[in-house]
Amino acid sequence: MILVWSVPRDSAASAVAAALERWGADARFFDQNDALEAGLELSVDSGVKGRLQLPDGDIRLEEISGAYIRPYETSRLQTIAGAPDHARARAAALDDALLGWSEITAARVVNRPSAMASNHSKPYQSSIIHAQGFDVPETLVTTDKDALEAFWEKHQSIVYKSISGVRSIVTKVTPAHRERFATLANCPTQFQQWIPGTDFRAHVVGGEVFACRVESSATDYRYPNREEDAPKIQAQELPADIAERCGSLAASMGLLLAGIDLRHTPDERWFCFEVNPSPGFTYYEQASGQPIADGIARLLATA
Amino acid sequence: MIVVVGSGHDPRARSIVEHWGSQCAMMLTAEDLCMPGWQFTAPRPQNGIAVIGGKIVPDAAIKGILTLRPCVFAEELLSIAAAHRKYVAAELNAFLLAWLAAQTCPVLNRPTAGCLAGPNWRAEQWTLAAARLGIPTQTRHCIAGRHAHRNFEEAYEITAVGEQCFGCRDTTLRTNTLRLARAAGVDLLSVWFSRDDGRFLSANIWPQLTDAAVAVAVRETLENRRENRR
Repeated sequence: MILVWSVPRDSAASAVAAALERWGADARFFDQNDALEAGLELSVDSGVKGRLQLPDGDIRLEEISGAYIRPYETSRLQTIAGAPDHARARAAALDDALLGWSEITAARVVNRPSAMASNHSKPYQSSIIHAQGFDVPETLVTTDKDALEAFWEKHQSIVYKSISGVRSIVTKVTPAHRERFATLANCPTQFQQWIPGTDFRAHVVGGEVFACRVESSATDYRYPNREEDAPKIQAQELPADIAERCGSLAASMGLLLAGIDLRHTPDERWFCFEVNPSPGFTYYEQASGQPIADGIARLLATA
Repeated sequence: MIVVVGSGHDPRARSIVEHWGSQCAMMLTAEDLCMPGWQFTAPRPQNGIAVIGGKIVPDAAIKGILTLRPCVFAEELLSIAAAHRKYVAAELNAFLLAWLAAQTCPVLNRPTAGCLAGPNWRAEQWTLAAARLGIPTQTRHCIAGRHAHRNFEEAYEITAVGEQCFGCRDTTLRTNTLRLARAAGVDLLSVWFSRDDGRFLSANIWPQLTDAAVAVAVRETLENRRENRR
């Protein structure tokens, strides 16, 4: 039995569920919109047992061999947010209990929450990436405007972005930003040397690597300012050693699925910016035609 | 200098800093993270500068770090506009994790990606880990987040600090405490065992530091041990 835990409007979860169906896998989709009618009983000693109670029937936890989890904060879903406080609290408790189960179950979980956590701190994750042999941009996190000026002077071209997993638009620092430097003291801010080159996104799925090349003149291709900056995505194999390094990196982080952001520089270096442990892969799959959802389904079905 | 990473509103953190004295220990609060002076470089941290107790301190002057908070909470950032607190808290947590992980001095407990003070294990994970080590446990039942076993009053408590144990003197329980601490990769851990039959009941990575012997052991561990983990 494969469990998919998310909401139907999540394109990645829906794509995996559809792929599991194509594979003829025994799969169940726990739609979080049904959380008020769901429950979980968990028993733990030297093993993990219990029951996930869903509106369309119970699932014995020990029968789950694989799980694809992309949960949202249930109590904030539109269908749940209007429920009484006690019901929303129960939904939150169910989230917590199921996350707890996904941490300790013997099932193949894509991905376990603890393995995903490094994405909450980019400089922390960067140290792991660097330890696996990738180049990473020189980074400064600071509340000191003089330190920022010195870093800018050293690298000439720098960008800023969030330190945490909160999504931010990577932006080049320009002289116009100087008037905001005084506000640096309010919160540490992350700056990185700008790395020129061509972007690649590599999706690691178990032992497979699906890579695509992303051509864009935007600083952050996810947010093109102009139509001509819109990214052009096409499947392209990575050099064998880089693909292998991507696999090793994901494995070192305990990730069965990862979306790895790379940049290939004109002087043939491979920089790695980030490892996304819960990638919204359908954007790349649709553009590149790569069977990523099928790969995930295969990974889960063979658990 | 020993740095205690905690909240200024946490009496336990304030108390241990007072106990050790301001010549020896200072507290790093969320407010310190929002002051000018911080410099942290990656991927090769060097010549880092921190702000601790309102003062600028080179990372190299820090001999040890005791972390007494799982994270920075948005609610404690009173100097930040309410609309920005959640974002700022996420940024401070991300920064503090990277900073703590990069320190080469002893850090109790070393952070994990999910918690600033060590592994963020739920009760079920502690039980599973104990059972898999062969430590007697009682089955832990959880019904949608409600834990059925919380009977701590009839328990022995043992606190591990490095290789030392404090509390109950039972050799088997002490050995089991140290085994569990090693399995979790922590140097500071409190474990509770049933007084009836010595079964594992619970564990946490934030021991009480009111026992003077525990406080001394923590301080010695932070001051004397040389670490080179990064």
